[in-house]
Order: sequence, then C-alpha cells, then structure tokens
Amino acid sequence: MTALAGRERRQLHRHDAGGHHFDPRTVELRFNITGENGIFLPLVFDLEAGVLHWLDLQSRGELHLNNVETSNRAITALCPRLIAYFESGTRPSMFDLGLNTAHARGERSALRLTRLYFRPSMKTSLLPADTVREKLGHYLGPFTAKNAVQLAAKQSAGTDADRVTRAQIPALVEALGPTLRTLLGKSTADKVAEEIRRELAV
Amino acid sequence: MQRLILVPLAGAVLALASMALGADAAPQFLRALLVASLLLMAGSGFLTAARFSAGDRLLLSWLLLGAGYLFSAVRHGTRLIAYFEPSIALPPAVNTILVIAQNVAIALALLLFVLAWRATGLTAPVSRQAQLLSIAAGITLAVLAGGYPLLQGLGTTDTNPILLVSTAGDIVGLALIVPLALSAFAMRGGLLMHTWVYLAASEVAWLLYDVWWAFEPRIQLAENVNTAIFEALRIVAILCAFTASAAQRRAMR
Repeated sequence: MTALAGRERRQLHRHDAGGHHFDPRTVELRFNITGENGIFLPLVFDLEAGVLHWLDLQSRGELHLNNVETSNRAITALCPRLIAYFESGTRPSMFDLGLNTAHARGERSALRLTRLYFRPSMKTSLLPADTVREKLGHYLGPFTAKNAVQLAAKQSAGTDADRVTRAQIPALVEALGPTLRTLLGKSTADKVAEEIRRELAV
Repeated sequence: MQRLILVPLAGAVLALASMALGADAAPQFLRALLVASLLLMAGSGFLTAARFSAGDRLLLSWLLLGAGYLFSAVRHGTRLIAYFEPSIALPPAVNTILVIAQNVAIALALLLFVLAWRATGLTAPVSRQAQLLSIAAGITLAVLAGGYPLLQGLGTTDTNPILLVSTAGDIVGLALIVPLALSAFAMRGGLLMHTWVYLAASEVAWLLYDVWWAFEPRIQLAENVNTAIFEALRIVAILCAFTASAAQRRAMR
C-alpha cells in the first residue's frame, strides 16, 4: 500500500487496510496472474462504453512501489493496444467462451442476460440489436420486438440478434420491413426504419 | 392510450341511461346513439385505412371494417329517420343485401387481421399446444353462442336469411376472438397491443350480445331494461372497434 494520504506510515492505525488482518482463506475471488513483481492488470473497465475488458496482464514494472501513478506509462500503452486487439475479434470474448461452454453442455442454451446494466446515471452498453428492439418495442411490445429482431437477424445475417454487428444493421432493418409494413403500414414502417438507421448511424 | 377505454364505457353508460327515459323517447334515443356509434366507427375505419398505402395488408382490413359498419349505419339510420318520417324505409331486398354485406365485410376484415398477423411469422408467448387449445375453445364457444340462434333459424319453416347471415358472421367473428387476443398478448406493452385488444374486446361484446339474445327470454326483465342492456352491449362492441381504429392511428403517428 503506497497511498498514505499524506501521512507518515507510522501514523496509520496499522500498516494494512483498515486495521484488519489479511487472511488468505477469506478470499472469494482471486486473479491468478503470475509474476514476481511488477504491474498486475487482471481487467479494465471502460466507463465510457460500459464494457469490461479481461486483460490477464502482467508487466515487469519496478521491484517495488508499483502503483497506478508509477505504472501509468505502461498502462496507457498496453490497455488501448490490448483492447483494440480484442475488439478485432481474433480472440474469443468472455461471452464466446461462456457460449462455447454452454454448447459443450447441451444442444440448446437459453441466454438470460444479454447486456450489462448500470445505474441510470451511467451509460448502458447496448448491443446494436438492443437499439432495434427498443425502437420496435414501442410499437410491438418487448416480447414481439425481441422475436421480430431475432427472426430478422437469422434471415438477414444468419446469426442471433445479439451477434449482429452495426454493419449488418441495414440488412436487418430491411428484413424487418415486411413485418413492420404489415402491422404499421408503409409510411410508418419507413419512418421507424429511418429512425433506427439514424440512431445507430448506419 | 389508457383513456380510450372511456369511449366504449361512455357509450354503455349512455345506453343504460335510456332506462330513465319514457317508453317513446328511449327507442329513438338508443337508435340515435347506435347510428352515431356506427358512423363514428365507419368514419374512423376509413380514416385509419387512409393511413395505409396501396399494397399494405391492413388497408383492406380497415376498409372492410369501415364499410361493414357503414352498411349497418345506413340500415339503422333509415330506421331512425323512419321515427320522424314513417314513409321512409329500405326495400326488404336492399335491407337483406346490406345485412349480408355488413356481416361478410366485418367477418372478412377480422379474418384478414388474423391472417396479417400470421403472415408476419411472429408468435404469441404461449406454447403451440396452448395456442391450439385456446383457439379450439374459442371456436367451441363461438359455435355454442352463435349456433343457438342459427339452429333456431334453421328449425323454423320461414327461415330468416338476415338472422342466418348475421349469426354466421357472428360465429366467424367470435371464433377469431382468441387469435386476436393472442396477438394482443404478444404485443403487450406496445402501442399496437391496444388495437388488437380492442378488436378482440369488440368481438367479446358481440359474443355477450349473442349470449344475452339467447338467454334473455328466460330472464324476466322489464322491457326497457332488457332493450337498454341489448343496446349497451351492441354499442360497446361498435365503440370498441372504433377505439381499435383510433389506437391504430395513434400508433402510426
């Protein structure tokens, strides 16, 4: 611990966090990153995008007194590079791994949670399909909106709605056209499609 | 959107209020209320149809629904005028054609609504088995409720074609209650739910009208009370259809 809040070390109640003894048996979650010393970065939170990036990273750093301030150079160099590398899709995401595990256990898997929920004051990480669902939900209700987007995703991109990328949205909106036109008429359907495209900037 | 329920409720209250009127004024009041409701629905149906473009599936549905209620408005409007000018009446053949056209148009419109939903490929949030069971139950109920007057009509020597066509149209409409309600259930929380829920509610009101028609002779009620309940159910059915059309237009804003 190097953050002494301006006080000398001996002024602290104990030389540990809040006077409690550290007991390894009480640890519920640990990050098993090996390395004798240096900077350990198990994960990084992108607060703007609301995304957790699993880094599992160790860098040699200094022999002692490694903290955010002293390691900032390494952190600001490594994090963006790794995040860009992961976003390229070269390596599976935690979602992919979870799905693979589910697929290994059974033929069909039900996905209950498809996005992260934050407090209202913070941004929510929305998948492109979430925006489409939200827009359609206004007219069709959440159940049918989800159903319609899933059908259109299968039809237009041959994949699940949650895996549809922003680039695939125009085709997905196109596939939703007949359903929207049937229930809302051509002009309203066109308006809804246009709103989706504008909101997702595609 | 929730306030739309007030429209059929207001119609029912007004119809029931006719019980307080005299024996001469009540039929005229109820007929006027019925014609106003029918014209309101017909106009609203055509207005909603106008929001759709050529080739849209629901364009024809709303046109037929508007036309069906307009035919009825013409029949009942003529009867209303006859209160003041007894010489004015529709020729029986025209009256029969209007009844047939009205029933065919409304039944076909509702069928087209259900087919439009099917065409989207969307499903209701209930199992296939539950859907089939509920649809079968709805059809059974429709046949039981509507079939009674139909059998009665067929049993008599001078079969009334108006009664037969009207009842057959009712059976089709009633049989579609469950598919309409299932679509509404699937769209719960969305603006379009109101359209489909009120279409189903309209048919439920027609079902109650038929049930009342079948059981009324066994219930000894005063004539004015009986007529008021009859008309209240009919007006609720018409105004629910009107509310459905208003909900559709609101969703299309």
